[in-house]
Amino acid sequence: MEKHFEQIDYFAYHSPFRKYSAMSKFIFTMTLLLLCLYFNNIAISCYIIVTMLLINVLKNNIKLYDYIVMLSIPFVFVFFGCIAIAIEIHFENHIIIYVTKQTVLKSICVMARTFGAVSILYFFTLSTPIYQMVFVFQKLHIPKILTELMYITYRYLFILIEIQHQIKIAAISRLGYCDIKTSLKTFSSCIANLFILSLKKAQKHYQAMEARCYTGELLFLQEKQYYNKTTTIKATLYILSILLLKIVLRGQAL
Amino acid sequence: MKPIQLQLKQISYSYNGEKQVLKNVNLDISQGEKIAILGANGAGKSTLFTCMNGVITPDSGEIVIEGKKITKKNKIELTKKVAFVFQQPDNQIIAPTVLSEISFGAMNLKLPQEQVLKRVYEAMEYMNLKTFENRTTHTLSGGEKKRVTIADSIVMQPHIYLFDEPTTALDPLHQQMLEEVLEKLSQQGKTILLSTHDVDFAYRFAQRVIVFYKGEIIADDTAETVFCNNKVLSMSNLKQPILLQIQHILMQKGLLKQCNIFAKNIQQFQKLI
Repeated sequence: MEKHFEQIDYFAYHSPFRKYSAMSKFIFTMTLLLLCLYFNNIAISCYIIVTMLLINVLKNNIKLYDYIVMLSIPFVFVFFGCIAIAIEIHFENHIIIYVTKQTVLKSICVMARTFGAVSILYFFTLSTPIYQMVFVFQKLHIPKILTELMYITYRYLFILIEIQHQIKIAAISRLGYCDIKTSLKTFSSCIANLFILSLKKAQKHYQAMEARCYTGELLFLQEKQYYNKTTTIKATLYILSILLLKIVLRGQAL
Repeated sequence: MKPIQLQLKQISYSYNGEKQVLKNVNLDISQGEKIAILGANGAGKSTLFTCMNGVITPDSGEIVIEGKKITKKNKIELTKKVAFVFQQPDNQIIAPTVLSEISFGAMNLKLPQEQVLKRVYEAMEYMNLKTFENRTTHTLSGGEKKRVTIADSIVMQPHIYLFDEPTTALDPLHQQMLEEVLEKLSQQGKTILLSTHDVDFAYRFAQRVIVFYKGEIIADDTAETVFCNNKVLSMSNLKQPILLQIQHILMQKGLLKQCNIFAKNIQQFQKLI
């Protein structure tokens, strides 16, 4: 999981879209998300899934394999959720479990819609580092306490992942994970140790902030971001293509 | 004689009112001095620095900076003038990118944004971090993180720099780079205090050496005098710098004339022999 998180951060940091305004990307993502959810159409959802895959693989320099692996995580949840939608259960004299054309179609529709939405959010996540997202939240006047917490959590996650990794290696080197019983014991001590260390780290960080005139507000300069006219036109055309597709598909239930 | 810049008068401090970490510490620091604070682990070096920077308030005693007495109300004056570079960069870095991290202190000084930006770029230039502007801080190496933490302090343009064990976990290249930066800051008239266990580095760099033992100052003199005082060295688990040891051996063997000049680096040593 931590590897997955670090991988997403790595992709976002190295994304060619990173330098573009995070707010523009946020508006684009939200518009697409709204369209995908509102139209609730399998063809439109599939169109979004395929185009997002192409954008992420061809333009965002993410390997197809990595992208599919990343999508497989939500797929597991969505798949089981959709099975539950497709299956109908009746309790009369006997328990009858059955599927109908409608329920199958409904579950496919939900699956396509969910994947469409997930693909859109993946595009945003894989092209915008977390600190840029927090910057967007600041612009949207989300309470400061939350955005500051996000900054600190982001920083802490990496510190704790690194410490956890070191502790784990130290434990493995002393046969701390040699069998299930020992592994469980070692794991619990590692977690306890990590908790104590995180408290100590927090105390040290607070001192370091105070040493630099911190008075209760986290103030940083933000990375320069660019507004790109061509990219904006392309994004608008893409949204228009979805609208056009909807017009073409007008009257079709799916 | 340069005027006294920072004065500590009868400073005492204890954590949770229990063990006293600093006991009646008196210290006068003049502008431009290069001071090394030595002592065993737990001698009170880091606590002294946090007191000098205003992060913690001493239980008793007085701190005077540039003639101004520090009280709880004007503690920020001390923080503005005395910068503290922590031992572990990961305990200091709080921002997601190098640019935002370096800007943190300057932003807290409530300077106009253009001025903050100017200072940040100057600090990055000073620490050779120009290409790191948009790098995320968690992807930096240990040496790079150290450079960022020094830039963090430079951006605040303080008068005094405190370095807590600056050479810890640095490779020889980064150690050399750090020494060059310290020399450069010193040449600009900045006062530098560093706490270290590295006697060779302390001997090479500092003009004045202060030795702490259980929260008290047991020696405060020139580097040569302190490092020739075996009693002080053994009390605080310190060794004589290697250059000094060699010089003494050569003098004992009659290979070098008895003299009161001590070489601080290889170049000076070559001249001496």
